Amino acid sequence: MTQKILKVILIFNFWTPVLACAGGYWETGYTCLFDPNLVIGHRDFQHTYYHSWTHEASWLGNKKKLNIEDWQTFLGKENYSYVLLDDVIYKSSYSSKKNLLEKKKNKTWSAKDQAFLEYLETAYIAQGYSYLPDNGKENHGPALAELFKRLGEQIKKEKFPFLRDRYVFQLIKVMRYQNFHDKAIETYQKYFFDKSSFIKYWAQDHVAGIYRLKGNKALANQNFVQVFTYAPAKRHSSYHGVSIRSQDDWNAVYSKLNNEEKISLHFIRATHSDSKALEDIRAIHQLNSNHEFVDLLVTREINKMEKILLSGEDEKTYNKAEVQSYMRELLAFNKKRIVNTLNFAKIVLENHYLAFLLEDYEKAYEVRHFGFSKLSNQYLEKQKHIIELIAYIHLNDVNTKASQNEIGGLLLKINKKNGIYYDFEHYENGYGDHSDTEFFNTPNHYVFHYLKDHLSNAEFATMFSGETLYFLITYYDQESLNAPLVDRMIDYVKNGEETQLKKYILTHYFDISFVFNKTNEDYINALLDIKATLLLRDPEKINEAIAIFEKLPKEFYEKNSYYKITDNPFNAYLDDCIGVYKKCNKHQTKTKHTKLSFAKTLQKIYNKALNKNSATDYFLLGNAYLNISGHGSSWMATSYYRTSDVTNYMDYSKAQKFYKKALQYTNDRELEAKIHFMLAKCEQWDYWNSKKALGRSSFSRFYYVKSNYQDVMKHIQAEGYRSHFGTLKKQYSNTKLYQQAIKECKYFNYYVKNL
Amino acid sequence: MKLKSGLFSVFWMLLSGCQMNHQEAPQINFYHWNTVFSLNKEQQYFLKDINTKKLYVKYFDVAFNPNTKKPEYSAVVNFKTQPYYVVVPCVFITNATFNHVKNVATFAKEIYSKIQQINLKSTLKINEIQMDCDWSATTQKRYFQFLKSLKKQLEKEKITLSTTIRLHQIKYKNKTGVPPVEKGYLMCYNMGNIEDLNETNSIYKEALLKNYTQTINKYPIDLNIAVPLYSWGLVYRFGKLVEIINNLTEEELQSQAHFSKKDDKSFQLKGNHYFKSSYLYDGDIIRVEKTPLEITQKGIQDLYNRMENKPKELLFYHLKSNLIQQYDSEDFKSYTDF
Repeated sequence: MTQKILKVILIFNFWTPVLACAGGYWETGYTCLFDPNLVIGHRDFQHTYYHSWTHEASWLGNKKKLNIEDWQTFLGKENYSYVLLDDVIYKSSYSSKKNLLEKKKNKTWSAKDQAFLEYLETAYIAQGYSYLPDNGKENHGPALAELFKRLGEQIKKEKFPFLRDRYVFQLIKVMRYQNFHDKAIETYQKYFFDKSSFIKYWAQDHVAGIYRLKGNKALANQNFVQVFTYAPAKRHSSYHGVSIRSQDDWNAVYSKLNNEEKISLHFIRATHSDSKALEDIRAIHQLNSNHEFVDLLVTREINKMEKILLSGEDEKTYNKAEVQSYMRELLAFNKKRIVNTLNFAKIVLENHYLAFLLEDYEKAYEVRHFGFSKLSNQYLEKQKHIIELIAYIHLNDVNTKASQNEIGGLLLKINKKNGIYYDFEHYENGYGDHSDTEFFNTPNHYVFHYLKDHLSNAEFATMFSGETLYFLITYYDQESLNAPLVDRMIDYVKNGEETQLKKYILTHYFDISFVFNKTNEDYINALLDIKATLLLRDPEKINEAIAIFEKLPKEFYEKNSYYKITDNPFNAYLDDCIGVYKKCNKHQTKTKHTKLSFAKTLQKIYNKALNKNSATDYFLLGNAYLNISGHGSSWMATSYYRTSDVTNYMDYSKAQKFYKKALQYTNDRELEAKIHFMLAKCEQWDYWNSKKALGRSSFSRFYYVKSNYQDVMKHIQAEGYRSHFGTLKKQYSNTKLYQQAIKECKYFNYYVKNL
Repeated sequence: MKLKSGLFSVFWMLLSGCQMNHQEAPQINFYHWNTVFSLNKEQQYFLKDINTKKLYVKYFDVAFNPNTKKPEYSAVVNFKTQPYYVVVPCVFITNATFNHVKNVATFAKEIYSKIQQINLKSTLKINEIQMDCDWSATTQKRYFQFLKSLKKQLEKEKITLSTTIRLHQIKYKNKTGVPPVEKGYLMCYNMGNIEDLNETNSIYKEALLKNYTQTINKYPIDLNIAVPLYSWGLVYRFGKLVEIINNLTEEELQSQAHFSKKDDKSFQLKGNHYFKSSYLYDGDIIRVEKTPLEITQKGIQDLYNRMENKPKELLFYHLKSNLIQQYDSEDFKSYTDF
């Protein structure tokens, strides 16, 4: 085992400098304004743009796919599906592979099928020797000798050239790992040297590794470069296999390569992390002026500069003069590039975007004159609009109607959902996993940041804040959402100047299910519903809420599921409705209340309670205000979303106020007991809310750790949140409610018995 | 580069004399941080001369691999020669690893098993293991659980567990916690902002060392002192740090025609060139940082003198091949002549 580790390390050490440099320059968190998805997204090598893990995963995935396809070509797609071959080649043991294939046996089981099965059996044995020996010593035992003999015989007798080559590959692989290095090279030369089959390059990858182990850097690099150039399925290992540490290393391999291979070598060096690739790009261009690597690498260089200048990550440290000087060199190179018509459009975009990065906005904006219809595609056209837009905002007063039409028009085009589009949402405050998106990372985001600082309309900022109305009503609920804010938004929808920018903002901001038609009227209805829902939380404002609900068109509340309340909000429940998805109470009664009918009933009871000092009505009001809280079964009367850890409407003071009034006007001991029980509930929720303020993890720890149950119960008591349980215990033990609560309420039972 | 050792030590003894007579000088030991362990005779004589007893050898690095979703072991040491010293295996684990490792007990077993494999192969016996991890608030709990679990395994074999301690972990011990181990090794290096092109010396700052160790005597576990003794070249491209070239000296840069001196510490590259296994680009700036003995001596002696529980070892990071060319044994002896 030790030997195995050491050998892996030896290989790893050869790889390390390249591995460290390989792959992309960008972390996945930053999306470019010169968007690789638009300009090169369809290319084979586009993944070299991204973080090295993504890039490796992509190339590794390719390896498997191409291998299975190679097998399908030999065996026939009609008999061997991709899934079946994936199973038998990459998964499970030989016996299960055998079973799988034998199940497939039928009258058409051919000699080829049989040969495949035999090959799999041998390959499975060979797999056992295809790693560096465990014990630090080569395994020269009889079993290995037997395997060599078997492979040799099968190579001789195999009638299918495809399978014979695969056997040779297995032999070279085992020889490599079991330290028969010279024999492996000899075998490769004998069988594969002049071939160009799929598996030849896999064998060559092993041979390259052997040269590396033997210390022959030039031959190792040469073979790895060739594999990289000609074998897409082995790009991952060959890319990492190339190791050039000095000019001598470079010269030694470079002189042995043909032009295509030289281009690969330049590409490998150019794509190292933090490279400054222009020299290699020039070299590739000189070898083949229309090679796709030139295109890919120029985009990569532009993105690198863009990330430094715009992402904000390097804001404090980067050397602007050096960046600009390099961009000018790129621009100069681009202007001299000999191009064919296919990449001409892309170069035009590159040059205008470079002008933008060099803060020559006039030049950048000239991109608008370039016609794409004959030369290119929708993706490049979208990229053109992005450059046009970001240059335009720097050149014009964005407060004019004409500007807002232009900006909005371009935003609508850019955000058209045709394959690649950008999130409207961006979270300025670093919520959740999005803290890394506070930098400019999409055209929408960039424009928002610019406009935020330059526009005079405050409501615009609210609705183009990167958050949607859905976000506001679900996450912000209590804290940020209030009736005056909703009024301002209504005013903006009603009276804000009609421009394309307003259209863009409203279309995306109202991305919620109860906006049925994307019209101003619908937007206003949605906002009115939100406003009235907020007003419902205040008993003094029920009339206002009713007036608004009554104005909403019938169609709106018939379609709107948020408008309906499914449980009877006036019932008192002994147990709680805690779980978001849990059914709240076995005694729950269904109603067909809408927010409007609920508000009207609430208003009626409220007036009655006030006028007649009716204990029962106050009790019903208490129940209602408890049930419409975030912990109640009718939470949808005051909120649009319910979760265990985000603040909903959690104000129990109103329920408590009504319960206390009920207590004041009743002489019924059973009702009094019920009221004390409900007040105890409010008290307990107040306790949980006070713990929630400590943060989610503290709350969860408190609430969900069952072994801690006794401590939590004692803690509630110690903090003074058990006064009504105390009253019940002392004064109401002879009531029915008390007896029922003892049986059904675990908290109360614990309190009575232990505290 | 050599210290005027005799004169300097007399001078130092005069300054700090009252304490020195009662104190046994700490052992001078070294970290060995390369993947190939090989000591030539000159190095062995040198270490013998300064009475080195232990070598703290980095056995391997551990980092979480997001592809395999497992901790990955790399840069495993290969003993080409017998150490002839007490070897303390050191393991560097990235902080992020503890964000992902689910079963710390299994992880601890795995780490120990890998150490044992190396010991077995190189016929080494050990009595201490050192873990090196710059833990954070989010990983503290798991890292400490890991240490507890490892400690439990090691206790059976009478092996001590130690860890490295960063300066901020001394200053903010209430926040960062104290690792559950027998002793710590206070790393008196990596003090500045390596990313900053205008930084003077990111390895060592005397004033910062003093500031961060004000409460050193309240730290509840025994501490030894780890002293920087290395140099490197920091390569900046577009103003950003892009590469570190270890053991680089100004002399090496001066000897290359394509580097021109930019200021006191920095050089600029003309043209694209391979240099020290890296491909560097036109305009790159390299800043050389170093911590020769004379730079750290005053601050380290001050720290040592302030510590009530005197460190038994001064541990130099790290043992490099050209050490003998730069220093003689007297330099080290005078360094620890407290």
